Amino acid sequence: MNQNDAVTAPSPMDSLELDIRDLRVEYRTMEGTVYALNGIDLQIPKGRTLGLVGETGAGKSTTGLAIMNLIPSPPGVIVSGSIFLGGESILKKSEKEMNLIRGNKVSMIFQDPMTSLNPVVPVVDQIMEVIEHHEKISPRESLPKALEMLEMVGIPRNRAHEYPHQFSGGMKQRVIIAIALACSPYLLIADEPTTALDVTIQAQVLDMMRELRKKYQMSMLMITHDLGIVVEICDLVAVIYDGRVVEHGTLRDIFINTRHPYTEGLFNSLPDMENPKAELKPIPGLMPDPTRIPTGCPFHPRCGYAMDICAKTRPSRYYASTEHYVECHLYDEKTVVSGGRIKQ
Amino acid sequence: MKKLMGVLCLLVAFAASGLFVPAPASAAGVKDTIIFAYETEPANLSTVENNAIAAYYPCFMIYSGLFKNTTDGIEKDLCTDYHIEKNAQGLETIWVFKIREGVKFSDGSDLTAKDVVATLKYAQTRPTVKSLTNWYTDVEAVDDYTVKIMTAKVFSTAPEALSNKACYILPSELIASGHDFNNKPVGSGPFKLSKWAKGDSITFVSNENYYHKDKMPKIKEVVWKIIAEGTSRSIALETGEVDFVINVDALDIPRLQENEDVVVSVTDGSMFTYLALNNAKGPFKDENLRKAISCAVNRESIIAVALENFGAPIYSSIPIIMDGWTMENATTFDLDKAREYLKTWGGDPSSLKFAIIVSTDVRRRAAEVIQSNLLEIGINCTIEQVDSATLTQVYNSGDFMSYISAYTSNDLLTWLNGVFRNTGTSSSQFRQAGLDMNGMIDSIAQTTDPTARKALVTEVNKTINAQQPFVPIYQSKVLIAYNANLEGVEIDPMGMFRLENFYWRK
Amino acid sequence: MWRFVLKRVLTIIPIMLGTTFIVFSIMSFAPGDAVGMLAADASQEEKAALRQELGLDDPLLIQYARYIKNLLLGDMGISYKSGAPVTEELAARIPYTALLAVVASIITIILAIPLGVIAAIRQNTFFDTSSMVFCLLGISIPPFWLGLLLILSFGVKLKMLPVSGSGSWAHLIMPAITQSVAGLATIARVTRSSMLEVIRQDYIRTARAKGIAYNQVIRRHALKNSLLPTITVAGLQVGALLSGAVVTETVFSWPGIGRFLVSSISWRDTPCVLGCVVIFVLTFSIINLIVDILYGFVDPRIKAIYKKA
Repeated sequence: MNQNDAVTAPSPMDSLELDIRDLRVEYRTMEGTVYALNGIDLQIPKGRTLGLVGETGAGKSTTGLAIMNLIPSPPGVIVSGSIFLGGESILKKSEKEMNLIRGNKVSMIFQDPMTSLNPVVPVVDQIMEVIEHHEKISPRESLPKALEMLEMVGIPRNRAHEYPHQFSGGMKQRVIIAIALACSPYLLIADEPTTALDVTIQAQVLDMMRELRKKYQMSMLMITHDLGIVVEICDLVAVIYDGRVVEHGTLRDIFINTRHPYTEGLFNSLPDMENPKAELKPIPGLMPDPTRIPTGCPFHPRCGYAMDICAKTRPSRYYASTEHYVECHLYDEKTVVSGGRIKQ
Repeated sequence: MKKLMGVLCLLVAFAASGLFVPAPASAAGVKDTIIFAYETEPANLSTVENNAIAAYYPCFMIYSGLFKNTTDGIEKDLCTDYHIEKNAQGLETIWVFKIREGVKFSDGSDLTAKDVVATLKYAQTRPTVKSLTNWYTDVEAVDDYTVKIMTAKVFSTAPEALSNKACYILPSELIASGHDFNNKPVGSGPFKLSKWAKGDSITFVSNENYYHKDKMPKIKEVVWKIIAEGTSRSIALETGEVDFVINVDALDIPRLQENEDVVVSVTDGSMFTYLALNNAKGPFKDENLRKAISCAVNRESIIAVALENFGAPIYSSIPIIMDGWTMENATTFDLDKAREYLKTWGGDPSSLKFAIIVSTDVRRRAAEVIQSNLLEIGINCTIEQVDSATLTQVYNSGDFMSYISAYTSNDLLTWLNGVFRNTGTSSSQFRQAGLDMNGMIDSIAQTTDPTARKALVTEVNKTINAQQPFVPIYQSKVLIAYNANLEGVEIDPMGMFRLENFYWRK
Repeated sequence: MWRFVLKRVLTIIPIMLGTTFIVFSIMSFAPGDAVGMLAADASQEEKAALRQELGLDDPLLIQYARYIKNLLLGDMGISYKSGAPVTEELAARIPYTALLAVVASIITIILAIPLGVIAAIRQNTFFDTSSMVFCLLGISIPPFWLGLLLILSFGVKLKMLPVSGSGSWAHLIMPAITQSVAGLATIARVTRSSMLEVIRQDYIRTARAKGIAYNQVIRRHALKNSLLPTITVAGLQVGALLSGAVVTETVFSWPGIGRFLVSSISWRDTPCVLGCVVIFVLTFSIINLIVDILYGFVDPRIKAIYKKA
């Protein structure tokens, strides 16, 4: 792998399950325009799992919804960019065409299992619905498949006709996973799938997802703020700040060869297992107000390494390898590979 | 869900088709039905169980009596001839009536003296009409077609009294069997009840057994529609849904008068409206104060404000249509006089505190004018609007200072009895003292000679005027409107008419 | 479930006793009585005789107990005014009020729910704004005025519809519209706001993520959830239909129970007034029960509570 290859960005390839280029999304409301995604790039090769990491409000969920083409409009507007799913441009699809893709080629698991199921419909019916829709079969034919899905996620058949309120949070999330996987999608978007669950349940659900990913050989976009989950399940990681990927790489790139001060900050705010006495160093300040983005590098007001230039121009992207890149003024084409930072 | 809705709609349609009465279909060309609109439904169709005007119209259709009241006066109806006989004391207290032969009730049974006797005796037992039946002491049948009615004292107006619906004849057998005349009336009038759709309409058809072959109704079917709202009645007439409106809203008159298809009839009415003052207690015991108030009340402006000018001012204390009426001793609108009377009274007008109790909107408007009139002579009063049951209770209990009420009758004696008679435990409507009204009413009743009687009435009128027991305000006009093709319409001052004379112009 | 229904049916008994007692007391303490109305000119003795005949001079509690005893035997007494059995008087009028109420309810529900739903899913569009303006008008316009307006336009000017009475289906149209407008507006507004809340719920997003078309998502997932507040209000509106009947029945001379109640009150015809009250309370209770049962059908969580009860 030579450096010249790394400088040129990869072009959309058949081997990519998901390819997002320069996506910009705004929410235009009476109070002002929220710049949610500001030129995000994301690629997920077939069969791999990308972790999308960032603080609340960084644009993680918007990314997921954009892929589903479910950004509420109004107020949401996709200003520019492209989303290719299995080589097909999502943003050029009609609503009718999208309805053949959602739940079929791409599925999404939402954050809160407590509210993501319709309270007045038995759980099995909610699974059957997606099967019937995409496979064009009758309820009679879809019922065994739905029951099979439920068993696969660990819910006994005899509880299939119960209502969501009779299920615990973990069981509901299993049902949601069953709905998402019912039509064997190529890509699964999981938006904080375990955040609302107890720790023990989290582990069970994650284990199950890992198994199912293998079984279905699907690609996955794991949206989370929990680096622990990233370690457990992801191949690639994209760290997102203010609607833009600031650092991207393999698990190893991000965790060992950390480049971006923000990524560093994320790790520093985790307790250190080897040195429990070490002080936690949370990132100072808050995410910038999305209606008033700072000039230059949006992270500079919170960055310990901020230089004059950081407030003036957006940093360019520097590739340490084909997969590992960073957007930070601390680096140039050379130093990014070694990890050496430009001193002030 | 859709199926359920469909079934529901079908059920509704099925149920509704049973409710809807098809409109009376007349034979092609010749119209022989008429639809009336009236504001209130009669409480019942019995002659003896109510005394409200609403029941008079249907009773005049269904029943007939020995005499009837027409625009020309009292006429013989079931009675063909009568004379008065003297009793053992030589007083003319025995009335002998010949009953028309061959009269049948609408159920086909014959009407004879037996039925007259049974009816008059039965009517006397009914509390509601007691004041209309207490003039006779006994009734007996001489033969099948002759009846004797005994009165306690000389009673000059037996034919008038017998023309009241309370004395209309019912079949004796049905009386004996406790028949429900309220809802299933049987009489010998020109019409009979066909259907009473409660709250909606009463339908009458002509009685094929009616005795008066020359006066067989030309209109075969009469629908009496209850339309409570005044404007709705006028609109129904304009759209042709009804043919005849009784009690037209005064506000609608100008519009109806412009309509060529409608005849508006404005006749002088006998509904005598007055401001009652409590003569028995409080400041109104003083006749000077009562006169001061009467002089201060501007009748003309009340008529303009409350009646849209459809009324006539009244100052004298008996209805203007009565024989013997006089203005003598009556007070008229005169503020100077009013202040004079106040001075004579001697009290402080600003110390007066009283409420005028009213029960209808028209009378509330009248009271508002009176309120501002009285302010001119320094008297403050309030207005209290109650429902008619409460007003009845108030004047029966005597617990009032003043209220506005009205009374109507074609017959002077009935009128005087209704307004002035002291009925034992309860005195007259405004508790006047110092006047022996009962004696005066009885002496009129006992005077048979018309000239003497007229003089007596004038005397009584003068005497009452001098006392000013109440403040006469207005007699409202009778406002009726009907389809211009209808002929034979004659309306009496009470607003009554004889339907059997109506017919449609071809 | 059946135990729940039975329990609710049994609660009608104390409600019925309470309301009839209150109304009976009010009627007894109100100034004036039926005798004064029937025989205003009669003397005190004659009135006393009539009072005795009607049983009005017994102590109030005895009169009330007698009424309840007879009511249990299915006898609602005799109308003071007409002398006919109250059951007969009511039987002549209830079908008209019921017909009007049912037709008005059908119009209300058929129009209000789609109106509210469409306004919600097209929030802030012309349709939404105009239909909400319509609803605001519908709630604010007094039925009396609306009735007269309809009469003047469709009856007098266009001569399309009869203006009063109850002879045919054509007679039903204007009263039914008058009766339904306020309810329609209220239910449409409630449906809209409840629908707006529901379509922002996570499960709607879940359903859309399945690839189900938006219209179908609304029908299958949003509608049922948004119906709870609608059902509550619709239940209350049926009550409003009963009370609104008075005005509509007066304007259109519709021979129903509302006008009958008012005239019975002014006549102090206590048996008839109580008869109307019994019917109103029964209707209200049954509709409330139906509403509660419907809750159970719509929402399994509520059904679960009923089962525990």
